[in-house]
Amino acid sequence: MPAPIIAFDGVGKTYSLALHRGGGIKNLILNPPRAWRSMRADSRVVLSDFSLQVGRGESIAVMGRNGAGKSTLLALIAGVIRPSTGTVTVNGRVSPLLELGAGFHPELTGRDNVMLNGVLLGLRRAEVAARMDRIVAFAELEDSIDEPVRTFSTGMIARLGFSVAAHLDPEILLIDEVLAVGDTAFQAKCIEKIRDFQRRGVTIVFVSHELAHIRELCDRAVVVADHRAAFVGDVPAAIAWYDGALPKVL
Amino acid sequence: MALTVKEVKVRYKRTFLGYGWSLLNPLVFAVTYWIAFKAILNVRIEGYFIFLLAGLFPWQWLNNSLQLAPRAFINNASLVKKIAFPRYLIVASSAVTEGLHFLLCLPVLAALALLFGRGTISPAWLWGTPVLLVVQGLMIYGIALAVASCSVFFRDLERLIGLGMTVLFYVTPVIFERQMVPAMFQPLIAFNPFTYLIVAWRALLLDGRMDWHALGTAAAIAVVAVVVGQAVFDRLQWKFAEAL
Repeated sequence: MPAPIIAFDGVGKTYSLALHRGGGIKNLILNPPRAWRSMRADSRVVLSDFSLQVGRGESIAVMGRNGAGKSTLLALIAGVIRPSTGTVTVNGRVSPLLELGAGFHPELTGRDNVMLNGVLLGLRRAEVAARMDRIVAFAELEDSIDEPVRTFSTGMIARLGFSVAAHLDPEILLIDEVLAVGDTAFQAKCIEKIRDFQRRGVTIVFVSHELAHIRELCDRAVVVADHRAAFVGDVPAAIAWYDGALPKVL
Repeated sequence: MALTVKEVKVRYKRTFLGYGWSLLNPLVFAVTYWIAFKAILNVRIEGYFIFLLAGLFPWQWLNNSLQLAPRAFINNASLVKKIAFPRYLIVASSAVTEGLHFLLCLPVLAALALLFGRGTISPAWLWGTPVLLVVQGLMIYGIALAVASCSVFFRDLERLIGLGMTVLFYVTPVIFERQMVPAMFQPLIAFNPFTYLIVAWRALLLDGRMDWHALGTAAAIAVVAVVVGQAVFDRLQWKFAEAL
């Protein structure tokens, strides 16, 4: 296998549930020791001892049941969270995490959001401006790009999100279920674009429940189950394993 | 930079007056306080209207920035969760945005001061203004960074800051002079980090001189604020995407 562009080495990720509970500092003031202890104790393990290597230019599908940790995996690659234990190594420019409502501010126009996203990813203003027309054209949003994003439909946002990510020269493209929302014509266009990336050697991490898309696009698949990379291998084998494992996990 | 542009656009997107608000606010407050304290309570400060403005404009910068700080990361959750970038830029850009508003208000203040015959145009403005801008900007950045980071986890902080800033306003020499405060309450004024900024701005804008003691103290506080703010941020920032 070529040198990995993404490497997970014994990665554990534990979410503290206290972060999501109400009560705020009230509990902390009223009963500090107990509040502190419960904050420490209430946690949920999402990944533990997860290891995986992705080679440069590879397209890998991430499969698993809801809540198995697929999105956590992508967030770790995108670098917006850090593992609790182990290490994640990423050697390349990562696209924004692509999922519904891809990092856009609702009050800004589509155009302003594209500029903001591009600059935050490290491009110069001129570089983003030079790609603006292509981004808008690909998303087929010429008529509404100067409207605030809050007026966009879900499909329009997903299209713009995909288009931004696709035009920022990423070395690693993270795709989380975005293809599910676009209409068929746009899906076909996205798949064509993804193939284009594959030809150019871009690494793709693809989360989907749509087996047809996985079969069509990916070389390898990893099944996330039981907090681990339960199965890593070629796509047909992974799908067979996944289908077989499903009743057991249930 | 792009974040600052974004801040400005978002802020005034749906308002009619836009930047005019950052002028209008202190002016309305100055008129109100002038009526309350000069016309009714007859406070003994010369040129009280301009005196008020010279304190209210820098106060507004402080107040707006710190009131907005608790929501800095929360309002930008979609960016924080999906793009890896230096997130302290969100707070920095908001401090700069408010600072720009303040800067745009200064010519109006100077014009009014001359009109009312209080204050003199002074060469000290030329170097004093940038120095104080930097000191105040750093102080705001440091405090706002700590506040913004903590409030991701403790949303109550937003309420606390709102309350705290209202109280602090009356413990900062904005509507009165520091010397007017009875000895008993002087420590309150002395321990308030914002006292020194307001005192320094007023000395510069009204008397055309730099109050070195106030400047030095404010600068020291600003450095501490930045160090503490950065430390708090570094500790908490990797949990942002989980908690938002």
